[in-house]
Formats: sequence, structure tokens, C-alpha cells
Amino acid sequence: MTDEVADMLVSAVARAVGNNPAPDRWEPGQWADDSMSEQSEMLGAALERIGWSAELSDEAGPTAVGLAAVPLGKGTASLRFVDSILGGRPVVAGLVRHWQATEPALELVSGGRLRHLQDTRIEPVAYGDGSGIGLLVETSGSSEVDPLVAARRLEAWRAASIGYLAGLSEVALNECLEYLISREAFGRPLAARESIQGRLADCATALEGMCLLVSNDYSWASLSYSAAAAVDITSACHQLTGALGFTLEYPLQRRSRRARAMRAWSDWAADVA
Amino acid sequence: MASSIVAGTTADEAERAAVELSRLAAACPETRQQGMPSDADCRAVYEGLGRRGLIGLHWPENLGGRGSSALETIAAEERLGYHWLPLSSYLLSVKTIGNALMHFAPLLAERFLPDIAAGKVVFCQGFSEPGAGSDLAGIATRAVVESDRLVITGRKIWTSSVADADWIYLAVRTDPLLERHHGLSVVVAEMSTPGISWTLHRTVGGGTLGEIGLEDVEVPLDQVVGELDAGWKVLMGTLDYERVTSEKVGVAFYLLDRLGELAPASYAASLRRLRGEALAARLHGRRATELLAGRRPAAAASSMAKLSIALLLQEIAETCLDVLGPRALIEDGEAAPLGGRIARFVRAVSAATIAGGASDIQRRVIARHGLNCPR
Ligand SMILES: Cc1cc2nc3c(=O)[nH]c(=O)nc-3n(C[C@H](O)[C@H](O)[C@H](O)COP(=O)(O)OP(=O)(O)OC[C@H]3O[C@@H](n4cnc5c(N)ncnc54)[C@H](O)[C@@H]3O)c2cc1C
Repeated sequence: MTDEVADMLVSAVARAVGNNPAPDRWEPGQWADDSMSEQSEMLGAALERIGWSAELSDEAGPTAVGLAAVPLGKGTASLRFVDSILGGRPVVAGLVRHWQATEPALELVSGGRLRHLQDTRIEPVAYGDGSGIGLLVETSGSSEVDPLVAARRLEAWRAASIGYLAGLSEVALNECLEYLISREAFGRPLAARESIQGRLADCATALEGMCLLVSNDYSWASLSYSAAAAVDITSACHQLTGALGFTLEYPLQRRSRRARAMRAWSDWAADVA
Repeated sequence: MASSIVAGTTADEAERAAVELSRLAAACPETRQQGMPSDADCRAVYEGLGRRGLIGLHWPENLGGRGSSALETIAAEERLGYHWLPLSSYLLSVKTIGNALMHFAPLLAERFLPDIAAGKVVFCQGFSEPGAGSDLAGIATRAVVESDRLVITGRKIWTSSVADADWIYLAVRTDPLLERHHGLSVVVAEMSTPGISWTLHRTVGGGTLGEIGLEDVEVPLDQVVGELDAGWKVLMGTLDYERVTSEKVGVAFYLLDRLGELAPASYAASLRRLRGEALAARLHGRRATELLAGRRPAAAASSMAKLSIALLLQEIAETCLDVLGPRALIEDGEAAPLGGRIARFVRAVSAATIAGGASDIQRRVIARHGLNCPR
């Protein structure tokens, strides 16, 4: 795929996300699924129109997919659209995302393979991230996905995950920076303090690293690092936005909860694979 | 593990009371989703602590206490934290405000401490404002002296325990013409005073923080803590007490004990290191407490106590995720580790290095007061 076509894909996804902002229905202790909203369905339809699916990476390659997932992360869109690239919902540690969805449940098994679980019984659980997490209670059988296809899908899915994490981190950091520039304390903006600049510089470096990985390397190591970096960045943002960042009304908590969940899932998936 | 604390009858008693009261806490709807015991509130638990004589242990008997040593008190607080009791109103009323009243305002201490100790009165603390958090000297809430009273107008925010509080301990600006650190005063006001209103902000920790409007609130001058316009000293003294968060040491040991049971052997070394860190954090708290009890300079020591345990809790949260993986974040039901306590803790822990003074501010105090670094 030419750079031009990749660019077009990125801007098409960005437009779709921009037109369908994802609402956050998560509340402490409650079960929530951010793919179950009108906006999310409209986003799903818009993405389908531009060919956003597991087959996309076959033509466009993982780089384009990873780059195009960045706007999904920026908009904290439902992870269902990252998982579309895998061709189904990943099953990790006996948990499944979007338990009510009909996409295949794909268990990650050692050797980087995927097993399509059949006749699954999944029960919803209240979870720290509003991805409609369900507990896999029962499955009657499984079929293995062709190893070559599985490897390709997993690679594209990792690229999409890294892109999503980069987008999410970028927005968190920008919002934090905005706060620090406008927040005066001890006679000057917080952003003018060297110790704060140092921390922001660490975040920016980590973010830039993720952006470089998106277009160059989609190994498990890259994904593990990117998820950990997203946790570090959003944690730094929590520190730097003080009590405001701790409230439900400020958007940071949504990003930090998702980063943390993605870190836990990616690490376990990587261990299995 | 009772063996992991200072032995002592009050600590043992606190241990027993904590076990009993944790049942009350479990039935308290406000605490259900709370991830951090020190941010959670439950009036029934507070009253229960008061009935059992566990509030203000180190206060003199004539003020409702038992005359225990300050070290016994923090050992008892550690037990309360270990059993995950909701402690926000206790911490504010006793550790922060009660202790400060004893130190700076003996008459007000006589008036309030017996009721606090009995578990009847809850205080909240109105320091932070929309325009001033870390920079406490930047507060703008105005108080004007009119004959025998102060008339207060302004706005406070991020007030813990506001819904449970009967009284508020307020930082106000009494003389705007003086240099920032002068012209501040601390007063106590009843929450039912005309002109006081509040709303709540929900937090990701699963609790709420108050925002308070103050409009021509009249407060008698005899409710000023210490001297008028000399509030900075009171505020700094108050924070020294607030920063010894021994209940969080209890929280750390609880989590480390449970992780020890849940984690595979490959985590033994990291859990051992974290336990050592918890032991050091506990000793930081003890040292700061001894300095405060001896009325000696304690700013750097209490900031070290606060910083060490807050950072440790955040490390423990990350370790929970490493050990338990995706299931760490299940909040409820049988599949939830420790009944969801870990998931709730993980989302609440970012506030540990913000509430009671951000870690950067603790570092600044340590560098300036402890290391005499140039300003
Ligand atoms: C759970 C919780 C409970 C609270 N309860 C109360 C309460 O009961 N009463 C009350 O009055 N307040 C309360 N607060 C408010 C708390 O005191 C403030 O959040 C805290 O002092 C930080 O202020 P801020 O949020 O305005 O952040 P800011 O002052 O805007 O600072 C943002 C961040 O910038 C960094 N920073 C700030 N200054 C510096 C500096 N000089 N150098 C380097 N870095 C710096 C810090 O990391 C800080 O976290 C509570 C807060 C929380 C989260």
C-alpha cells in the first residue's frame, strides 16, 4: 500500500471517530460496555464502510492498520474496533471483551496460535474498564484458526493495539499539558517548573517511542512496552492534574483505566503466545 | 498479621474492634465502591470507634482520650487500615484537626475533643480552592472582621467527608494586603451555618469530593484557631500531622499479606523487597510521630512518612496487576480477587500521591527542610 492510501485510511478513521464520539458509561463497580451505544454502532458502521476488518491488513499491511488505529485511541473508541482487526474477540485469562457481541471468541494459545471457541457461555463481570468484560464459563469445543492466518491477524492486531495506545496517550498528555500551562501556582504556570518539564519530557519520549513502534515493529515486546508506557504516561498525567484528574467528570480516568486494562491483557497474551 | 506491628494492648484492642467494625463497614453503601480506606466514609464505623474509645487514644483523659502514647495511636491506626475500615472522617477529625486544635487552640480543643473522641462530631477540612491546591498560600477565600465575628466569602473544593461533616476547619485570608504567607487565618465553622452550601464531585476511586460555597458566612472570633493573621503556622503544623498516614501502612501490609498467598513463587523476591519498603515506611511514620509528640521540627520527617507510603502503595498496585493479570480488575463476584478490593484499590491509588499534598510538594519540603537546599 502506498503512503498516500495509508494516509487516506488514517484520515477516514479519524473522521469516523470524530463524527461519532464515544460516550463513557463506566461507573465504579458497575458493569459497562462502551460498544453498546448508538454512537458506537454508528462508528462501527462507518468503519465497516471503509473496510475496517480483519481482511484489511491482508491488503493494507500492519503499518497502515496501526497508524489508522491511532485516532481510535485518541477518541477512546471501543476496543471492539481494535479487535475487528483480529477477526474476533480475544480470550485472555478466561476473560472476553464485549461479552454480548457476536464476533467469534478467539483464545490465544501458545505458539502464537488462535483457537475459535464454539458455543461459549459468557457471564458479565463488573470490571475496571468499560469493555463489557465477561467471564468464559463454558465452551463446547474449538477449532484452530489456520496458523498462517492467525499469525498475520495477531500481528495486525498488535499493530492496532499499539496505535490505539499511542493515540490514547497522546490525548492524555495534551490535556495534561493544557492544564499545566493554564494552572498558576507559586507565581507561575506549573508548566514552567523544571521538575514538571522533566516529567513531561519523559512522557513525550515514551510517546514518541510508541509512535515509532507503530510504523516499525509489532512484536509482542513492542506491545508490552507500549501498554506499560501508556500506563506510565497516564499515571504521570494523574499526578500532574491533581484532584481534578481524579474526578469522573475529567476524561483522564477513562484513558488511564483503559491503559491499565490493556497492559494486563497484553502482558498475559504475550506470556501465552 | 498482628505480629507485624508494635505489640500493645491498644493495638490488640484496635485489632479486635477493626474486625467487628469491618462488618458494619461492609453494610455501608457509601463505602461499597471505594478503593482506598483512608478516603472512605461511614458514619456508623466512626461512631463505633468512638463508642469503643478508639478515637483520640493519645489525647488526655479529660478530653476524652486515654492518655496513650502517640506511638500506640499510630499502631492502632495501622490495624484499622489493615482491616480496610473507612477512615476519612476519623483521619480528618482526629489526626489532622483534633491534633492541631490541641497544639494551637487549647480552648477549642476543650470544646471539641470530647465530642470527637466520643464519635459524635465529624470535621472536614476546607483548604483547597479552585485556584489554589498545592500552592496553599494562594487561597482567596476572604474573611472580614466585623465586631466580634468574621464574615467569610469564597469557595472551597475537593473537600473529603463533606457529606458526613458537622464542622469544617477552614483556611481563609484575613488580610489581603500582607505578603501571601501572612494574613491567613484558620477558623472552625459549623456546617449548618447560614451561607454554607455544597455539592459533590464523584471520583474514579469510587467516592466523592465536596465543593463548598461560602457566602457571608458569619463565624464568632473565638472560633479562630491560634491567632488572627497567623494561620500559616497553624496550617503547616496541621499538615505535619496529616502527613503521617499510618493507616496506609496497614493497607500496604494487608495487600502484601494477601499477595503472598496469591502470588506464585516467582514473585517472592519482589514481594520481599516491597515488604522491606513497608517496614521502612512504618518507621518513617513512627519517627515523625515522635518528633511531633515532642513538639520538635517534623516537616521533613512527616513528608518522608507520607511520600514513602504513598509511592509504595502505587508500586503494590502495579504488582497486583503483574501477579493477577487481567483478573485483577474484576470488581465484583466470585472471580474477583479479594472480592474486588484489588480492582477498586488499583483505580483509587493515583490519589495517594495527591491528597494531603502532592508528592512533589513532599519532595520540596524534604529538600528544603531536610537537606537545606537553597530555594
Ligand atoms: C482524594 C482526595 C481528597 C482530598 N481531600 C481534601 C480535603 O479534605 N480538603 C482539602 O482542602 N483538599 C483536599 N484535597 C485536595 C488536595 O489537597 C489537592 O489536590 C492537592 O493539594 C493538590 O492540589 P491540586 O489538585 O490543586 O493540584 P495542583 O496544585 O494544580 O498541582 C497539580 C500537580 O502539579 C504538581 N506540582 C504542583 N506544584 C508543584 C511544584 N511546586 N513543583 C513540582 N510539582 C508541582 C503536583 O504533582 C500536583 O499534583 C483532596 C484531594 C484528593 C485527591
